[in-house]
Amino acid sequence: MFKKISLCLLLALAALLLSAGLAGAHKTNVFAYVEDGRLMGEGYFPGGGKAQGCKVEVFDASGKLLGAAKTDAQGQFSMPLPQGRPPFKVVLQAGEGHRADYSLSAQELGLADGGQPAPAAAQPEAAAPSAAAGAAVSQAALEKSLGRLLDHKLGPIKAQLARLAGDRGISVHDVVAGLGYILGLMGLAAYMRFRRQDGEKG
Amino acid sequence: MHIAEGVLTAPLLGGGAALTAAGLAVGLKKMDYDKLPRVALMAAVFFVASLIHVPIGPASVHLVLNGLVGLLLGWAAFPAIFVGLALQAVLFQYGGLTALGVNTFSMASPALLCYWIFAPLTRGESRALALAAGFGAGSLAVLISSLLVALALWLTGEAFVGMSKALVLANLPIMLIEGVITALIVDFLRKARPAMLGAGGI
Repeated sequence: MFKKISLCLLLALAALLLSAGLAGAHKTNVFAYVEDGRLMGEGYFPGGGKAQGCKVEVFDASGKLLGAAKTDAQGQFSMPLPQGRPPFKVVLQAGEGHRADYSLSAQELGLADGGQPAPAAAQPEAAAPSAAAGAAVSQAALEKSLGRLLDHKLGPIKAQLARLAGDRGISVHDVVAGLGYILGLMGLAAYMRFRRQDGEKG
Repeated sequence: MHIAEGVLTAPLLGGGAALTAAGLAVGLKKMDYDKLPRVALMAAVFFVASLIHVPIGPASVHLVLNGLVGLLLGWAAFPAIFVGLALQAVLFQYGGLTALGVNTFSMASPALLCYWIFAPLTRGESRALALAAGFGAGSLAVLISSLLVALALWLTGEAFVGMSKALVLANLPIMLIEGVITALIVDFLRKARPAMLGAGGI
């Protein structure tokens, strides 16, 4: 009888799970990237909920607070890129005990290791012939605007990559693993019990 | 309602761990080993329930079912919920491992309280009273858990009234749903296997 009830309960749970999908969760996620001199990012709950109106704080490598922002109705935030020693840590406080962080390396920040902006692709052929001086200037301007354009175009891709890196959803494997552990612990407890009984008898 | 890593202060984490250790000691001592499968089954139910996400209300909430666990296990709710929460933390990244003590206490102590208040009523003659007791256990456990989480967050400097209001409001749908689920399971067990609601608990 007990077996039957257990089986029914487990089956009911399995059905509920399937109907709810494995989307539902409670973990908070945050990611951030640099676009055109600004630090942008988003906070969200797996399953699509946006972390709205939450405090976002940015710390440098030594733990010094560099800046703060608040997420909007889409869960997104944006602030001027603060200066400091990389890597930065972006911390989202989603309230009610929810907290998530995301680490931004020097590379992701577009900074050289010293914390200075990387030299923009060396000097464009410094020893250009005088006749081409005008061309060199426009080349520098071109590189700058091209850089901004690329930042803009690559922003969404960076965002998606950051999201993928930070987001490891819950898989069926995790659920089965957990149930297996519980079964194993039960077995272990039963084993200990039997050993103790044997000891008492012997 | 899982509190994440890095939200609470060290004394609070220590206090929660001590309370949980005490609860675990009593729970394990009182646990009748013949009812080991029941404890394991309820641990599994608690572990899986957190995946069932309820997309109502402003926040990300999921089933807890600690009222049901308490009603069927009594003191043994401590080990069952502890195992469930530990596996959720490791496999789902719900809540921090260091916050395990606080999280276990805030889920398991309302379970025990509901056992004391409601378990005798579920064994009574009156079906209506048993249904009401099931509903009460399911919803009250979530309510008290919300308040305990709010209390823990208040001790770290958040405003208590606003925090508890937000948490209780977010969990209001869960209270109703769990009340109904627990009442239905109590009703089923009364008919199918009254021994599971039997006197003495575990």
